[in-house]
Amino acid sequence: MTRFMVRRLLQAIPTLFGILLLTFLLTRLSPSDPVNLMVAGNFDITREEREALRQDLGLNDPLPIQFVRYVSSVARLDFGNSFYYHRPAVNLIAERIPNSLQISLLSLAVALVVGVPLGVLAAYRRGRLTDHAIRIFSVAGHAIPTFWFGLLFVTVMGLELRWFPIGSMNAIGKEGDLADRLWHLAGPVLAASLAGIALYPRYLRTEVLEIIGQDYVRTAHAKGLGKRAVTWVHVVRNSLIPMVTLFGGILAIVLNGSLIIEQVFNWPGLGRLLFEALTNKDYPVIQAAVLAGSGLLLVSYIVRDIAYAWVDPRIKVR
Amino acid sequence: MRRLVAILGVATLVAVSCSSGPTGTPGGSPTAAAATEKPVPGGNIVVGAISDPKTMQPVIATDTASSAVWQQFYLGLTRTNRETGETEGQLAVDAPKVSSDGLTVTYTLRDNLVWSDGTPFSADDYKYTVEAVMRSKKTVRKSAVNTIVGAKDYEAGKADSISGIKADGKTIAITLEKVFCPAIAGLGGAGAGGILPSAKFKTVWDNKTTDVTKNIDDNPMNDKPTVSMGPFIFKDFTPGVQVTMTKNPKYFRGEPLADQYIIKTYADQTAIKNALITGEVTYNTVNASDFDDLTKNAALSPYRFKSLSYNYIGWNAKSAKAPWLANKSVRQALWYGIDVDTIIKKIVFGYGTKALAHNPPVSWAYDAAGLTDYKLDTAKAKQLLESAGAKMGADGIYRWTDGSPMKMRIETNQGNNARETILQVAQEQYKAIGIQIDPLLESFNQLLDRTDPGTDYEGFIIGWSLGADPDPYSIWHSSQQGKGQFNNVGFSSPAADKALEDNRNGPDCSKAARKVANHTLDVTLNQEAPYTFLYSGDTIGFAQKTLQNFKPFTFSREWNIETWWFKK
Repeated sequence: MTRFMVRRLLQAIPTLFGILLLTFLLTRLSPSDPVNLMVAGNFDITREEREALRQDLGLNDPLPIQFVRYVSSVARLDFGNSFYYHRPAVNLIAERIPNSLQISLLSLAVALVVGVPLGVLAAYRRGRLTDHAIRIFSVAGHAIPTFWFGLLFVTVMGLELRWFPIGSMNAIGKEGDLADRLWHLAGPVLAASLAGIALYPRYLRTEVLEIIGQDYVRTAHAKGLGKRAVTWVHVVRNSLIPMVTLFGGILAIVLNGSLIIEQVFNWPGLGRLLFEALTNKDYPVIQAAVLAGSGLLLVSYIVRDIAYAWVDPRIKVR
Repeated sequence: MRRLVAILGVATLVAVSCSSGPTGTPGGSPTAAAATEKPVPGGNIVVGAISDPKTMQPVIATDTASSAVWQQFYLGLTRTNRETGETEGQLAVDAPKVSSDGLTVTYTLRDNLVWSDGTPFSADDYKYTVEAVMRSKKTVRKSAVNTIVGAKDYEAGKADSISGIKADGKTIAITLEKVFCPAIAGLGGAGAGGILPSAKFKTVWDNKTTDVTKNIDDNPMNDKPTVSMGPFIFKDFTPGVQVTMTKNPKYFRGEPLADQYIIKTYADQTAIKNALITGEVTYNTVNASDFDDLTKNAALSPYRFKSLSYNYIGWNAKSAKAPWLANKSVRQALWYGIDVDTIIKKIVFGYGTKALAHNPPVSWAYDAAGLTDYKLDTAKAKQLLESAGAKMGADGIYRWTDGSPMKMRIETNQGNNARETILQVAQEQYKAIGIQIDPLLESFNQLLDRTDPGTDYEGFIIGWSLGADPDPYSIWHSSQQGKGQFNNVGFSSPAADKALEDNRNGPDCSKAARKVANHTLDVTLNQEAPYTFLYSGDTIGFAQKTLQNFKPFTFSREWNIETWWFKK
C-alpha cells in the first residue's frame, strides 16, 4: 500500500509541473494587464506610477525569468502574495477552504443519506408507484439547474416567506452561533445536494437490481439471513462500487466549492475567491488555487483507488 | 477618486426612477426626523459592498471597497463640501491658505484633536504619511505629493525628512516646487487621502531612515488598524463576510449615535437589493432594474442626487479603418444623428442630465454658456457629412472621400444594459444618416484593452466617473496619447492644451480662474466633438425609513454620520 502511494505521488510530480506551466502561460498570455485592472482606470494615476507598480510586481521581466522565479518559489512552498490583498495567496485560500467545506461536506452527506436509500427503495419497489415517483423526482432534480433552485429558494423562502436567510454565513451579531450557522447553511446545502439526491438513486437502482439477482444474494436469503441484513450487508455494499467512481475527484470538488452556490447564497467560499482572482488577473491567487485544486484531484484519485480495495476486497492495490 | 466607470458600476452610473420616484432635489432627505424628536443612541448601520476591502491602509489602497473602510478612521486635513464640491476644513479649521505665487499652502489644525486611544493628533502624523507615500513601492499616490520641495530627495534616500513640510504647533506649511492647482485639494489627505497615526506606524517603519528598501507596504496594521481619527474604530474583518467598526467616543465631531458601522460583502447588486428588502442593509445605491420593486416597499425611502459621472461614445480620430473620424464635421454629424434626449428618457427614465462637454453640470467648474445643445437632426447630420466630402451611395450608405463605405464598429461592455441599449439605438439611428454600424459586445477588460491608444478601433461606449476637483488633463491633453494613457480618441487642440495647463499650473489657483480654464476646455470639446457626450445619470438609492438624519449629497453621503440614529 505504501509503495503504491509513493509511486503514485511521484508520478504526480510531472503532471503537476505541466499544470503549473500551463496555468502560468494561460494567465500571462490571456488579454488584459493586471496593473491596469488593479488601478481600474483611475486617470489621476500616472503612467509612471503604474509602471513602478508593474516593476514592483515583477511583471516587466521576460516570461522565462518570471516562470523560473515562480517555480523556485513554489519549490520553497512560497506561492507569492496576492496582487490585490498584499497577503500570501495561500493564506487567502486557506481561510476560504473551511467555508467551502461546510457546504460541500454537508451537501455530500445529505445527498448520500437521502439518495442511497431512495435508490435501494426504487430497486426493491421496481415497477411500483414508489419506483415511478422516485424516477420522476430523480429526473426532475437532475434537470433543475442549481442556480435556478438557489434563486427560487432565496426568493420564496428568504424574501417572501422569510423562513430562511437570503444568504451569507451568519446574521449580524451572531458570528460563531452554531444554530444560526446551520440556519444559514440550509439553503446552500439543499441546493448543492439536489444534484446528488437526484443522481444517486438512478445509479443505485440499476446496481441493486443487478445484484439482488446474484447467486450469493439468493444464498444469503437461503441460509436464513434477515432481509435487512441481506440488503445492507450484501446488496448495498456491493452496489457502492460504481459510486466510488463517482467520488473520484470529489475531494477537489468539495474543496474548490461551487461558484454558483456561493454566488447565489452570498457564501464567501473558495469558488468566489477564485472567480474574483480570475476577473482581476490576480496571478498568485489563480496559480495557487489551480495548483491546490489539481493536487487535491490527484490525491483524490489515489484515495479512490484505495477505496475500491476497501469496498471490494477482490481488487488489490499494488 | 476619479474612476473609469466599471462594468459593475451600473448602480452608481445608471440610476433610474419612474413616475413614483424620489423628489428632484439633490440631497433631499427622505429620512430626516422632525426637529422635536429626541435621537435614540444604538443600532448598527449596515452598508453593502460587492467586494472585500483589499487593505485598510490608504497609502497602498487602489480600490473603492478599501477606501470605504479606511475613510471611517483615517481622515484628511480637508474634505469635499457635500453640496458644492469645494474643499473645506476637516482636521484643519478651514480650507488651506494658498500664497499668491501658488507655491505655499498652509493649514491650521483644529484644537484638541486626539486619536481614539487618546494620543494627540499632530502635524507629525501628516508629515509621516507623506513620507510613507514617497517611500512606498506599492502606492500609486505619489503624484499628489511629489511636487513638495524635498519629496524626491527623500524618496531617493538623500534626506531623512521632506524639507518642504514645516510644522509649527498647529500650523502646517507646505512648499511646492511648482504650482499644481489640483494637488491642493489632494494635499489635505497627505497624498494617501487619509492621515496615518505616526506613533503606531513608527513601530514598524521609522520615517527617519534613509534606507529606501524599508517602507510600510507590508505590516499587520495594514489589515488591522489600531486607532481612529474618524467616527468609527476598526473592530474586525471576516474575509468575504464583513468589516465591523465600533463608534469612536473621541471623534472630534462628537460620538456617533449608532453603535457600529458594518460594511457587509455581497455577491452582487441583486444580493444587496435583497438585503435592503429584508432590512439587513441600512442604505445603498441600487440597480436601474430594481427601482420599481423597491419603491413598493413601505419600509424604504428613495434618495437621489446628481452624479459626477457621464456616458459617452468615443470616436478614435486616428482610426485607419474609419478615417472620417478625424473630421470635425463628421463627429458633429454623429452627435446630431443620435437622439440623446430620448436615450435619457428611455434608459434612465428622465433621471439624468444631458452632457454637453466634459465637466458634468453638478461640478462647480461647469458653465453652460456657449455650449451647443446637439438635438436629433437627421437632415443637419447629412448636410454636415456632405460638407465634409461624403457622397451617398446607392445602398443608402455614404462613401467617404477615398470611396470607402462609411461603415464602422462601435463596441461596449457586455452586461451593462444601458450601454447595450445605447449601442442598439446608435446602430438604428446612424443608419438613418447613412452610416452603417457594426456592433460589438465584449467584456469590460477586453474593452479597456481594445481601446488603449495605439490599437485600431473606431467607436466605443463607456463612461467616466470624475472627482470633485476638476483635472481633465490626462483625458484631453495632446501629450496623453501613449499606451496606457487616457486620451485614446487622439484629441489634439492647442486651445484645449492651454486651458488644461492653466487649470493645473495656474499660477492663479482660485476657483474663478480655474472655472474659466475649464469652460474654455468644455467649449472646445463641445465644438470639436471628440466624444458624443451622452448624459450624467443620477445616483439613486434607498434607505430604511427608520434611519434618521440621513441626508446624502453628490459629494458625500456620510458627512454627518455621527448624527444618524434609528427610530424605533
